[in-house]
Amino acid sequence: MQIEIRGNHFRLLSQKAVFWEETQTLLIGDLHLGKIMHFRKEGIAVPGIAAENNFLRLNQLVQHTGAVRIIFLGDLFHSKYNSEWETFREWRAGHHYIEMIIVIGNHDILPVSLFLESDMQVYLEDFEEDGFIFTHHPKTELRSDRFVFAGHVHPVFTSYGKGRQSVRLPCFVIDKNQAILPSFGVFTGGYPVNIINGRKIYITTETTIFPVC
Amino acid sequence: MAKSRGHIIVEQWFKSKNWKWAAFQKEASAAYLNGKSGLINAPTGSGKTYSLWIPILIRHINALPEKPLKTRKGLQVLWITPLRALSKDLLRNMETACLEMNLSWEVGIRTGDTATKERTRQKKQMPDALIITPESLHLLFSQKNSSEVFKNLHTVVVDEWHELMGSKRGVQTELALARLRNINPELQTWGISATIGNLNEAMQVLLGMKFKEENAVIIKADTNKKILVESILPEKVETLPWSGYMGIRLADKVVQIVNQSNTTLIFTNTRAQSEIWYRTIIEKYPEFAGIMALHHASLDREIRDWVEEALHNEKLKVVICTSSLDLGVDFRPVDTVIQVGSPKSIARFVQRAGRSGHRPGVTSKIYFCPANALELIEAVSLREGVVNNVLEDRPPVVHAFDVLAQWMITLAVGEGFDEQQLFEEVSDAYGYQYINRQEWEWLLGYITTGSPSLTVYDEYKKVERIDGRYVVKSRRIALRHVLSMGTIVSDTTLRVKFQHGKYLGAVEESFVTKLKPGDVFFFAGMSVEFVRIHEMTVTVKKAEGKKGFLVSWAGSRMALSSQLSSFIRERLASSIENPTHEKELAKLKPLLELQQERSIIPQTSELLIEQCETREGYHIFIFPFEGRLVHEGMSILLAYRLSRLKPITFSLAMNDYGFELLSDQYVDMKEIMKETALFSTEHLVDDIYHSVNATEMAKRKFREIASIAGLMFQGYPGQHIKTKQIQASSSLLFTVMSKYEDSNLLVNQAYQEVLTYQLEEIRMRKALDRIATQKIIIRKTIKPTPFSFPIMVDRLREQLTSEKLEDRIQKMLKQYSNAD
Repeated sequence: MQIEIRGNHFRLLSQKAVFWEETQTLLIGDLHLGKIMHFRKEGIAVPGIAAENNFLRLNQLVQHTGAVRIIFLGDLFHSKYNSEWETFREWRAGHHYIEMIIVIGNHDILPVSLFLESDMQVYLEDFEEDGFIFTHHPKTELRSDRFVFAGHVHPVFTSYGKGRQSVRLPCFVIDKNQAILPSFGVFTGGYPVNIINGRKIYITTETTIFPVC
Repeated sequence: MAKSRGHIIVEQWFKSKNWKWAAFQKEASAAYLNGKSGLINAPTGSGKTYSLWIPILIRHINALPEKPLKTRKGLQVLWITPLRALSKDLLRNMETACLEMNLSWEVGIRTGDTATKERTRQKKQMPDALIITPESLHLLFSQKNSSEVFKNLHTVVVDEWHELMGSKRGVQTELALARLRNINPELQTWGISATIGNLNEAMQVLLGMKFKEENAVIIKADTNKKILVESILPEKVETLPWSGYMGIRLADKVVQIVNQSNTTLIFTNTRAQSEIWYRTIIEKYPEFAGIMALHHASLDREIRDWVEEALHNEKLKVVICTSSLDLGVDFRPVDTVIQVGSPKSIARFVQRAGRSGHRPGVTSKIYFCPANALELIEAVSLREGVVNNVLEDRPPVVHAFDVLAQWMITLAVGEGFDEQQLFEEVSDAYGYQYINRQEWEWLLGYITTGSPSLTVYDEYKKVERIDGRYVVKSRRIALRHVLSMGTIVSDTTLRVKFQHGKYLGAVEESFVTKLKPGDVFFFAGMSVEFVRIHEMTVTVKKAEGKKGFLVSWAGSRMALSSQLSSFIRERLASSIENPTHEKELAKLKPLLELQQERSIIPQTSELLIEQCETREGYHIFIFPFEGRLVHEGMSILLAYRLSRLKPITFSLAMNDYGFELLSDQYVDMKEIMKETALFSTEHLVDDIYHSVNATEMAKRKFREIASIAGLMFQGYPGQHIKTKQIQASSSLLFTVMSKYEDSNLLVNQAYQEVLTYQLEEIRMRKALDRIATQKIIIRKTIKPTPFSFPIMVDRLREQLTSEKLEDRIQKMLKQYSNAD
């Protein structure tokens, strides 16, 4: 599903990411790596194998889009250092030809040096380029001359149908001056969003994207 | 036989109190002193405590040496009670006997309320007898010296065993008992139980699998208590709503009865309902201020204690309560009991009736106040059940791997365990008699490595195996385990207090998040205004006379017992031929006539199916009258079987009388029934399993399991230490676990629990067999009927679909754009 924003073309991917055609950049929100291992370290038996799934999906996305750059919109790593960071480092090293940028999110409490060591560009607040702002927290005060891409809220949308049916799925929220990405991570929850005036919502079933309105 | 020293002292004591040693008490005493174990079947107020406490004292007196010992023997008797609230009363009774017989025996209490100082004292020197809850007993096993503590224990008494047995707390008790029997093979175990249908099974569960039958005995108190049941009837049936559970329309009649009585208990089924009743009565009858009180589990302990004390001292005219007053202490002033809304089981009704007229020989009287029109049928059925002395079973919980996992970690936090020995011990417990090595190995894996598949960099840490013993080394993990032990899983609650500091009780987090400062809500029988929320405490101030929200609590709905269901089927069928036979049914006549006009009233040999179309879609209503649990199972089973015929999505709802399949497509039941055996028991287990899989039921069940098994941590009590980092919703855990791990025992348990306890597979099979003999009558109705309406308006729904997700979304979104 391709949409146009300020003359640029963005592909909303059913794998819960966005591809910016003009710059061949992949936008990924709220990966929350390390969460599963953090749980396990605390004696909570979440299957460790679930963590591998995040990397599998990342690989598929990179291959499928041929991205030359990835911008992580914060909450890349969920907790303090644990061994899952090593898996990420290996993954990063395996994709050394891709430029990677991270905008720090509230969960990213790792020392910035670790990101730098992994050859990532780090932005503490916003990363700005061609009138687009990439950030973690959605902005409440928006300027019409800038368009914001954010994460943080893990938006989900519930559709209702006849016969009292309902389905709740992750979604992209596109407002006039801001877009919010769904959470990419396997082990993350969701926050319900509603339709409001001037807002477009796209839900994803992991295989298909549907525009709601 | 010459009387023992103990007998002489006890008989003198009875004489001095002017009491008679009741026959069952004598019998129990003889059996106990003969070294036997067993079950005492006696109601509250019959002297059941003394039936065992007296022989325990006799044994103690007879064993006293000539010269007093210098060192104390430590703990000898455990008295397990399901309710903390009962412990004080027990202590009083037990201590009184000791004091009056001049015995220097110390009785102590150990519950969640026990102060740290007392705990420390107990750690140094245990009292001779200890009153304890199952949770606190487990906590004792998490200490490093537990086998030392229990080494001289010779008797365990489990009070209100019928209440514990049907829950996971019963399983906790079984595990602790198996361990105690292992420490002392001579241990005598006794249970005290109210009358239930499966007393023999109850004894087996209590005593474990290896117990020798000839050493066990059931002793029944001869109590033929008379119970009178009276329905509170409206002038006209139109007064009562067709659906709903609150029942306040008959408040005036209830107040009349209260006025004619000395002291009344009004039992409601939920906490919210009790709050509504309190508010309704106080608004209409302000003269009740000061002599009416509210009692439910979310009120602060201090308030509840005050209410109980005031009840004792005849300061209250009426108390509106929930199951919080089902058990325990008898309130002598109470002479009237009113049950609002269907109690759903005859046993519960009888238990509540027993809260009045406690004195032996006095008739208990209970009024039934229906909450909706159809409950008038239940009124008749309840009376019939009471008259015929119908008993329901309390099935014990089996295969609760979550409780076992918790127990294993508890022992590892304490002295640690040898796995072979513990396996033997655990298979002695009734609930784990069939556990096999494979399951056991999985559990050992779960607590040590966290999963069967290890990833490269694994840092999982919980229980470690050191020199063949399983132990917990990490203090942090030990502390967190101890804090989250127990089997009662509830929402995170926040305490509610006034600005000046008085605590009112607790509300759930999900309710508080909806409030804004200035919002008024009704709680603990008064209007309060929300001021702020800070560190797990909600501060409020008094709000005069304003209308406000009602506090809601999450809770499951109770289901009609099978015995009561069958009474209802018969009553309903006979109501056509003989409508004025009972006065409740006579009242109901206009409604029954309307049902007959729009559809039919089924005979016991018939199964009624109604179909109708409304704005919402196409409804199919089916009325087996089997109780909501069986209906839940049948509804998903039928929805599943129908959904295999063509891609379709159903939304399901049910009550105790029937269930509904709602869809956006029309289903021609007449045609389908010709070709498809929808109600067949063939492939039943497979079909149920698939249908459970297609719904969210197992996922919801998993919440409790995950919490008990230690996958969810609610945080440190009273402290607001950040634990968000390790909190995940149970549905997320369930999704991840079932997706990435085959044969996870805890996930399997969720399915099994749905099948056994939620859907009552066995009962469902019986119901389907019955339906196979029935004539199926399909009626198309223009409007919903008195039978179908209450189901139709129910909002609690389950979904089952065989359509592709993408197709469903497409359909739904099309409706959105049509609406624009």
